[in-house]
Amino acid sequence: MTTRLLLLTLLGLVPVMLMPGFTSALIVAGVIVIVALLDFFLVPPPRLVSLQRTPGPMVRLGDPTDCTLTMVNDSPKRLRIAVRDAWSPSARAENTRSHFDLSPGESSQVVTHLLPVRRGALHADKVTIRSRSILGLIARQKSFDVPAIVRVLPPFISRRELPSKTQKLRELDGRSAVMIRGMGTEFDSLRDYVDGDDVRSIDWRASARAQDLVVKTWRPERDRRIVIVVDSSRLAARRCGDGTIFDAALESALLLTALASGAGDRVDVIIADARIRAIASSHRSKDPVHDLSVALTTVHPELYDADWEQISSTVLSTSRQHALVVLVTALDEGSVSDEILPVLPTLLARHRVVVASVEDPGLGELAAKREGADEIFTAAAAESELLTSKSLQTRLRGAGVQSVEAGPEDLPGALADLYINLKATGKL
Amino acid sequence: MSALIDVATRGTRSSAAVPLTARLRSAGVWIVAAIAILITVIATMLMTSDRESEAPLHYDSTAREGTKAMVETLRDHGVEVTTTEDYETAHKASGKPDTTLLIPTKADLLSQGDIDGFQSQLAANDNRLALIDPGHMVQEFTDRITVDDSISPLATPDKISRPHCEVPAAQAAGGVETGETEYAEARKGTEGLSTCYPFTGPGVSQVGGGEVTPGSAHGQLIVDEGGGGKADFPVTVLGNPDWATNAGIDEEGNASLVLSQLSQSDHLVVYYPTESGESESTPSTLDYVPSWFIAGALWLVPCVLILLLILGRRFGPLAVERLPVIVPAVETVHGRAALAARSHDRTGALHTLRTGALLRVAKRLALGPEAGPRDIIVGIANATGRDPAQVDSVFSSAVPSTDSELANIVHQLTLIESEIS
Repeated sequence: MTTRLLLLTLLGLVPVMLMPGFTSALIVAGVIVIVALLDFFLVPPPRLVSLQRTPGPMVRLGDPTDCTLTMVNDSPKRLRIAVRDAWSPSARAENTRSHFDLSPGESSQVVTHLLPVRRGALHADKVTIRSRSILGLIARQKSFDVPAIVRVLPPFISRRELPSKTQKLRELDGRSAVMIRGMGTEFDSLRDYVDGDDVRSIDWRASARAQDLVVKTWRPERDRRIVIVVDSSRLAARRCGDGTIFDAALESALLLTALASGAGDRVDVIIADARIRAIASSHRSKDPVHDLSVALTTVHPELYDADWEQISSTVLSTSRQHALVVLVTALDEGSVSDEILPVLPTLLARHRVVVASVEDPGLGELAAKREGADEIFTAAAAESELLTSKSLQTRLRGAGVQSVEAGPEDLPGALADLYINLKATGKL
Repeated sequence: MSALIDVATRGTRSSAAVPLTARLRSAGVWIVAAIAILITVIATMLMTSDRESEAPLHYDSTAREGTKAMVETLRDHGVEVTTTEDYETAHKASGKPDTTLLIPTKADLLSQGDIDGFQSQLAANDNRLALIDPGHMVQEFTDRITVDDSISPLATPDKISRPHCEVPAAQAAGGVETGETEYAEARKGTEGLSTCYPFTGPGVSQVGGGEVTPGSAHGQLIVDEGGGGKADFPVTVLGNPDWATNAGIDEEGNASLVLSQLSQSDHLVVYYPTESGESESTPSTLDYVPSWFIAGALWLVPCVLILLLILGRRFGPLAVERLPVIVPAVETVHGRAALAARSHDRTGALHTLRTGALLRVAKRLALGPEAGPRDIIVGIANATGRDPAQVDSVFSSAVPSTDSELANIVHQLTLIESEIS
């Protein structure tokens, strides 16, 4: 059924109105039906088109990408087709519909521009072909599965903090020893004394040889191990700000990976809930951030509880030497006291553990609103949540675990600062 | 890496052949719908065929109200039965000698001319006219018989009527089912007229005031052998239609009575009047509309149908979105707040808010973790210059008994907290 059939039927008004009567109407209707049937058999079936989809490059969330749909007419017939290149709504595909007139053997391409709004593996939906003949009264259509996947990496918005954090880390290089002396500093080189250097870092022996004041410089230790554990359990599925807690956790993991691998440390990232969902390592990787992004692209939080025993054993097997273990999880009273605290001693026996958690900015807002009785009760409930998380942090500190809590936008930066701080004091 | 993935996920359309089972599954809804429609249509047709009994006492009807059994039995017994719905045929056939004309029902469809035609035809050959429960129409055929309106309306006649007359057929038939109407002679003491099966039973009595004089001969079967007046032909009135129907003919003496009454002659003409259908209806507005306009308007129906089909055809199925799990954030907070509000747990709520405020203030006043609430309250009083008793009341001792008191304390709490910076 096409507009042309409608026009033909409307044209049928002329004979029907000129010769009113049941017989004439029946004859006109019969003619139209016969022509339409004839056209139906004239229409080349849509399956004559060979289809292929070539996905464009993988992108970070927010960047545009595309997918090319190639149509080849293998049949000896001329194909007049309308094509719908369907994508799921979160792909934000533009202009999914197009028309083609393919002679035998001819091929054509249509590029569908995508602007994905959700992280993950973006699966292409069906391709629908609507074919018509030269008369164009009847269209036959059929939908085909043409698989294609475009990977949409996490946005890594906190990338913009990377230069400043790296700069901070570089400032540690070449500082005189006293400022940063600790277990984790290594002797780097000697340089001339300039005003302001600590006199205690003057290397007297070298100064005597050089007939000038020379100071020892140091650089932060390298080749340390960092294991980041990102919790993808149900607690991470909580909405927080624009995204979920899991999104903020991924941002933090990405920034820390970029920073630490840039500083020469080895970073392993484990994403786990009831089972290990993804593992990525910066070891022998040219671009650790990209590899990590790819590894965690398809992971979404699920409604499971995290299995911390399994996670801790995975951490222990990942790194046998002393490592900084960062647990990015939610400070939930039940899960912390029942699951995390029991496994901490085994981790702490060999590693330094840091817990990073996302603070819900909505809680602070609710706790500050105290107008009517209802709002006061809500504020009290929010305040009690905040107190709980504070007391949990105290308990963790008591167990020898440092913790960072910040809003979703600030957590990556806060965690990076903690890392730099540890690095500077040589506590890795 | 990216090139690898591109190749891995680059897809071409696999063969277009869809397995039959999958096709059947996707077409299942339509198949079921088609079967359902078919069943509905068949059921409707069966039910409409049942409704043929809209023609009661019809000679071809096998329904409960039909009279096919009676007609066939008469034929079996050697009576030559002519059945018709056409007046001309009936009129002609009733002119034969030794013929009975039976008009089972719907005598009111006959015009005065039709009745006159029958009367002259019957009178010319001294043929018998048989009527089944004609009601007041009986007076159109003969002026000697009328509906008996002298029976008391409160009467409840017996279920079975007895003959109570000298007519041999009735005597032979014995008891028959009782109907609803009785007929009587139009004038008291009419010659040559016998009545059988009068109503009997409790409350049956003749009352005056009607057309029929009390004491006239009356009954459900009237056999008039003729004799003067407008009708010079014998008339039989069978007062109960149940005697002749397929359902009622085998009850009691019904069959014997009806068959003997109708088989008195060699020929029987059963005339079933129907509406001529040429009734002149008043011209409607549609008659003034030109036919080309109606044809054009009706032609628009298929046009609209095609338009709807075009607009309703979807270009492929809806695209599917696989949504990740997202849990609403502060849901538990709101739930807990609602619980506290419902149980009026003001003390608990206030305690939580006080604790939070004290902790924050202690941090701002640089008090160590060993400082107790007393120390902090004293610190607040010193920092703000407020009355220590008031600060103590707000931060520790005051117990709210109403929501407004709670709001008041919390307001002061927030105020004092904001004064310390």
